Amino acid sequence: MQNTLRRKKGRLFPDLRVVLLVLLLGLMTATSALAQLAVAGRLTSGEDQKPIPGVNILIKGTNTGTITDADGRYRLSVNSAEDILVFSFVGFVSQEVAVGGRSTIDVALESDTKQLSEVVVTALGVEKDVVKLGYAQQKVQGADLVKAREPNPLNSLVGKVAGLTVGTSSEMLGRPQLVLRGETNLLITVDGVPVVSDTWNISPDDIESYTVLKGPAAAALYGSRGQNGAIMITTKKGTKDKRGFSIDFNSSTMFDKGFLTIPKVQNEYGGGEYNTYRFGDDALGQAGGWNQNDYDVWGPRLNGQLISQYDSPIDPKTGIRTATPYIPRGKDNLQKYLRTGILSTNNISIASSTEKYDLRASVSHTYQRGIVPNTDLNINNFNISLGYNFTPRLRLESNLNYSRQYTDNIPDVNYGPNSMIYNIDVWSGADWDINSLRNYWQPGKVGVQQYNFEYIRYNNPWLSAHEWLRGHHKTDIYGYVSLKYKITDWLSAAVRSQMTSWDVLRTEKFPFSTSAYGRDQKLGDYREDRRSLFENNTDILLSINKNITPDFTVSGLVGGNLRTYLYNSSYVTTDYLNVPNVYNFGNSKNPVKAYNYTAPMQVGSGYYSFDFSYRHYLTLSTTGRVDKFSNLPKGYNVGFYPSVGLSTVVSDYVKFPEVISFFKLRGSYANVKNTNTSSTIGPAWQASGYGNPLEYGDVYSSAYDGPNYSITNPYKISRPYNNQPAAYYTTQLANSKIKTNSNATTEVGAAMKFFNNRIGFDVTYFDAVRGPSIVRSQWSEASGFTGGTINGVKTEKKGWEVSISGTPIKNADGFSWNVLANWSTYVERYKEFYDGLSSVNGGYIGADSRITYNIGDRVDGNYGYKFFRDNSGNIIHKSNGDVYKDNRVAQKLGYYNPDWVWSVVNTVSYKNISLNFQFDGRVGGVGQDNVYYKLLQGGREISTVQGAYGAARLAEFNANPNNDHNQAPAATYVGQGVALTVDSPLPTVDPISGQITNYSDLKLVTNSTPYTLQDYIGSETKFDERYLISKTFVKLRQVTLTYTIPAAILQRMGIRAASVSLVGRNLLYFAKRKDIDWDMFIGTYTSAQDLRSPTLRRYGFNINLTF
Amino acid sequence: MKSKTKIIVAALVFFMLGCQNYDELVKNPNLPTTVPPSLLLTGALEYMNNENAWNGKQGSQSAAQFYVSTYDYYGTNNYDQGPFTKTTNNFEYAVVLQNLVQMDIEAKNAGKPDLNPFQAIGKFLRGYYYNLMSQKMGDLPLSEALLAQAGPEPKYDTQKEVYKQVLVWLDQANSDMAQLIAANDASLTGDIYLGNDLKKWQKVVNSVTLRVLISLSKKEADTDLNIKQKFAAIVGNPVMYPVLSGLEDNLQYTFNANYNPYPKNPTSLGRDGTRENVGSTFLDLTTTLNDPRTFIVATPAPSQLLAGKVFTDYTAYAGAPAGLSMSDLGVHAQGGDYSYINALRYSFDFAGSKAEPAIIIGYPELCFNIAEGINRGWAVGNADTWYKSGITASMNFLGITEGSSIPVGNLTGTTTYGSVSNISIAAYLAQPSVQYQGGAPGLTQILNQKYIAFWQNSNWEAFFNQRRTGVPTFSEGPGSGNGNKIAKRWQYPRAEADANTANYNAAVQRQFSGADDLNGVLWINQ
Repeated sequence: MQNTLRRKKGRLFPDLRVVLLVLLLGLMTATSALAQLAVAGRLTSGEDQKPIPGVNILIKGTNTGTITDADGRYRLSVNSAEDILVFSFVGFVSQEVAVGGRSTIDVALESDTKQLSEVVVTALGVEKDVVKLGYAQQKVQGADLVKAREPNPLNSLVGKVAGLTVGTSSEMLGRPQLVLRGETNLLITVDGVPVVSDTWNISPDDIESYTVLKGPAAAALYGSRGQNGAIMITTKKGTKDKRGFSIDFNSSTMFDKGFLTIPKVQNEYGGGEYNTYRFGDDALGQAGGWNQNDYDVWGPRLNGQLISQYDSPIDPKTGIRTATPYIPRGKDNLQKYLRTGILSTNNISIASSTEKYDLRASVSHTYQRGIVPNTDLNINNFNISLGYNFTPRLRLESNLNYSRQYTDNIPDVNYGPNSMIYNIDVWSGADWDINSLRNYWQPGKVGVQQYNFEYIRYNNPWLSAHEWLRGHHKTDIYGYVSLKYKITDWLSAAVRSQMTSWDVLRTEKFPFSTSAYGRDQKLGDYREDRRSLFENNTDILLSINKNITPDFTVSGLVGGNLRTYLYNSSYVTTDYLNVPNVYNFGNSKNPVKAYNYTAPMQVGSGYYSFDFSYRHYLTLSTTGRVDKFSNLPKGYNVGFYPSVGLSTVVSDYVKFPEVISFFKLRGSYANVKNTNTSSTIGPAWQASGYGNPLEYGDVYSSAYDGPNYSITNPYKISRPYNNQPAAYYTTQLANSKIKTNSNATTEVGAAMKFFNNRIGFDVTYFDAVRGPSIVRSQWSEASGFTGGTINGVKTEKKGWEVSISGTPIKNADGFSWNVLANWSTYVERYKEFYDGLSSVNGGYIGADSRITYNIGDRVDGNYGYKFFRDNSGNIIHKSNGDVYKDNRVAQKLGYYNPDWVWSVVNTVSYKNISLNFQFDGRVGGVGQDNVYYKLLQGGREISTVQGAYGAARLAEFNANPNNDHNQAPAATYVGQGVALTVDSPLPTVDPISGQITNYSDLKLVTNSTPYTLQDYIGSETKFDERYLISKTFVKLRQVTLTYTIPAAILQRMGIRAASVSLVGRNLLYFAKRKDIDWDMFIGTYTSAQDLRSPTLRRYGFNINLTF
Repeated sequence: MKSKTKIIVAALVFFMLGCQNYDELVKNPNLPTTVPPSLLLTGALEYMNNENAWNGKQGSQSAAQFYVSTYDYYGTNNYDQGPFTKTTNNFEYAVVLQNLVQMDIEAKNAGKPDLNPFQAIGKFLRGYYYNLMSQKMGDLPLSEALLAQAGPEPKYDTQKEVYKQVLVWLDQANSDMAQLIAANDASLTGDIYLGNDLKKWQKVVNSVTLRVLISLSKKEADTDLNIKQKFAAIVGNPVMYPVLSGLEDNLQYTFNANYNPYPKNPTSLGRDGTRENVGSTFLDLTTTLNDPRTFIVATPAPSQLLAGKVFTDYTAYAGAPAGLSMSDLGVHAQGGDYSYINALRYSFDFAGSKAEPAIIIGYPELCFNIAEGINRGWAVGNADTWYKSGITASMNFLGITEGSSIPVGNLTGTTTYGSVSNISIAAYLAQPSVQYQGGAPGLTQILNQKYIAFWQNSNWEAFFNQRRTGVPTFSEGPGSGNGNKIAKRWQYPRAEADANTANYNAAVQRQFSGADDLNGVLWINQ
């Protein structure tokens, strides 16, 4: 044994030395060659004579070979006329052909009808025949997504994969919300290696394909990071052009114009309260004014009557404003404010391939002009990849991607005076003209005092656009180098080192006199949020692929990975400025507030993956990974994550009717635990556990995938009084014996093909048991803690995914119709809490703290207040005409998640013309529509001037047409429903169910008592039910009409291929209410509790040229 | 070849797992796990101001009807909402009492002897916060609380047991401080109120003890609590039990523009200054008594001025009844029927430079507490003197002295009508309606004056005193929610029912027949 070992060692190390030598000598070694014969030819399909790209060609008995290009052509040097070429390709019967001195060998491969001809990229970048997979995955070609563009590449995946939902944000630089089987924490890999990315640094033009691994079984090889599946991006490498090089140019220009969703507002009444309003006589409108500050849109009717307004002239003699006509001069303020957006992307790439190397260099630029004035975004992207075959056994692959995303200003539309929707639509009326505010400083007060229609709460939108600036400057770099060495024809070794690194600087310039929640002194501010991340993954792996017997194959790999990680961030803000317009920390009026956060981490891993195949039709796969984490305490920091899968091509051994050409069954199980990390992280103050120093605006979160610290009991230090420090002990007791959250998923699926593989049908059922996760247990606060960190709460999620793809029509004269349809659904329920509890308050399990959840409840329950109703469903009012609203208790309103999600993508081609269009949508689910809610409260919603509301509004205005603020408002609105009589006992409400318990004692009559409309709507909107909206919608997501210019025309111009397309995205939207785009609100707890920018149609053209 | 694989894997695993120090990386580098005790003291002291002046809708001041919301959007005057109703964090245990436990631990870590100023103030603060919590909810976990055990289910001590312990803590704090003062201990740091002066703290301790004893007036016959005797002992022995001797001894929160801006300011004036009115509970009292504090607090009601009244006329001032429905309040407020909060004083600037600090416990209350005790026969002394001292101190605290004048403006402070001048405290005190009458009417006078003196200070004391005595009468109605009633207590925090079920149920059963009821009457008020 000893001897053997030493001997084998002896053989191993020289091999490694060769590796090194080759590395050092590079080309020198590689260029030494024998006299050779050249063979070329073309591979076609025996069935339809079409060329087959990607066919493997090997000189038998050697590792020398090549693959065919896009036209099915190949070129290869052989050593002698006696060499035999082996042509093989998945889905076709392999052929062996002797060279016999020929220089051209064309081969027609016969298709193996029992096989599917598809190879996909699986975890770690390993390519596998799809028929051998025991789990669900779906592949999307990158080329399908580069015509009708999206600012973020992953937005384009909407509707392309069953089970993957993409919430496309309407905001600039808004991160798409990716939800796979209900989970948001997804691993993204490039060429098999994880990257920590917010996805803005990925250039779609460099992407060959996306493969979505749908669950832990598919991604278990990534260990904890693959817990929820992965989106695997494969980049383009080299070229398939037979000349050995190609230049590609892709350009698309699109315009955002035409609102898909925008709030519908009334333009009949202006700002104010109870039909009265007057702007005061001083510059800021205070003296002698009424209802002129922080008002609602319940002001006077815009009838042309004379009212002192923000731009009414002040009589120099009296010092009093001369009233001017009150008219709806600002009825399209938002539309006038917004502009046409532009999205322009240009990419040029040069690629070259020879037997020795493949090289591709690409440069992309994206320019987005926002719909909000003075907002834009630029993205520069460089990508270079090089593969080099030093010897037939030794190959180097490398890739480097540099991306710079930069903007000096992006808008912040979150609820508050920072939001254009807040300032223009929700809280102000049509009485002011946005164009009259373009000069946004008061005369003589440039930089100090804005000019506006109101001076306490709202902001001049132009000032916000041009002076309140939010910059984002981010540099992303990722890359890898790998060396693969083929030790024998069935064993190879590889070393790969990859890194991800990014740095971002976010700035905010907040001008003097601007209003924001919590910054009442209006003395300006400046903030910087800097974050940086570095991650290195180094892998060593051995892979085998061996036929043990002719019928039995083993393939697999064994490897190890070291992940080294460091995240750093800082957040610094001034506390008001001394001098306006100088955005520097040295100019801070009070001491700056500064926070920082650092998080180093290390994970060491070992893993294996083996596939045992019997013939072609039975494959047993198993993977396992051991991770050791630095962020968990000793004894709890090592995890093992196994997966097993079984797949069998039933149609290989069971005779099916002719119509079924393929039938495969698959099943898998995996149990993967997470590592107590977070997928995203906020600013440094949040990361280190402090409260928000600001009370407004968006809190930017970035990709993190780094440690949570929860095993020590820390103090937090803040300065609550007069800048003196104080410490506060943690309120949640830590636990050093914590285990991490697991996801144990069982899934089964079937794939079928019909009519000679023309139509494919794939169905998956999965059952994912998640937990026990890490939760805060519910303790009596008398313990001194609000809870302890414990393991608890299991949920079970069951779902279905169906995908249909195929070519229903394809005929000889060039007409074809391709279709892809996806459908998915899932439901997640509580399966177990902790300590044997059968119910737990939602506040302790990350859900609604007003609700007690029971085992078996869905996790996505949407709770809120419902009206009190009588037995006939009429709303109960108080005797004074107000809606009865004492002692409300939150009740279930429905579910946040859709019942199901669907999409249909069609491509119809005729000769050189191809039309692609996609409809998709979601069905079911309810959400509170915050825009609707706030517009109703504010009195700007269109319905407040329609129907009974409109009549009451007019009557109440007519009761006080002279804008007399000392006149008590009239009450004319009679709420529909019943009312308690004056002598009725008051309802008593069950504190758990929220139901009235003394219903039979109540004396109810039809409500006839008028109430002021403003107050009535104020009362009504205290019930979520009032603005609860179905989340169902349908979108015409994409249309591309492409004309491929015939090669004959192009040849003279030196162009090899060209196409032009007319493209459109988000062209139609069907939903119950169109004030907000429900597309962007997905996931378990998302409603629409915020404001959002309108969404627009995007259309334009695309040019694609290959030289 | 298998061995080759093994070697590589072994080498790999060694290389992977051995690279950095896992024991170091597991620690959180961003937060400390030990701090000086002074930092914990600062936090615990700052929290004393937690629910003080202008602290929001259904905070202490609007629940006590000093001011009223007349604008539905910014908040109602309901009592069936937070903080009265179940919350996820209503006990002071986790946010402050656990920090007192840590303060003792950290003081020990810092090598301090058992008798040190931090533990002495820690005892006082335990007494202070347990009193506050028990006033809100009733019975509380005390003997089994704060034991730092996992998954605890502490039993509830009866309110009587809680108060016995509160009084022990306060007594110990006094004697500990006396010892430290005698030893010239000057090691206290982190105090944000009294300049780290233990002598002043000792006065505060005994004044709080008197507040607690008065709050137990309905249990004056209880021989275990011995309220009367303890009260008499403190009032009768100022050497052993020094108490506040003037406004300069007040425990109060001072505002400043930079770090702790006044809760009302020029910007909030434009926003909610016009949506909040002075409560009728307050203004009915002061206008009936011709109390010059009316002009400090309120602006004349616009409709009264339109009707021809002048700003110096007390009848031009009218408060908003908190019990009216929001619509009624909104409509009347729009019609100018109510007095607004005096913007000239309270919204003048971000420093609150014309406003007063927020008292946590102050001299006027002490005077009225002693007067009340004497009125009740608990101690010997002149109730009238204490009563008049309390009124005078309260006026002085608000800047009123003999002959001073008070400017009066409109709701936004943009118009000044003029000044009410030559104000006389003596003349005020000389009015028959103000002169101390002794007996039950005298007690009502004391309580009314105490209520007036609680304007925007002393957290929940105005509410607690009214609940105990019914003085002054609060406005109740549709605007109160809760079945048109003022809440009598706070519900226990949500977690109790779920995580401490048996003990919670027992406590609720014992006190309120099983329902954790907003309208349940606490044992101390029975």
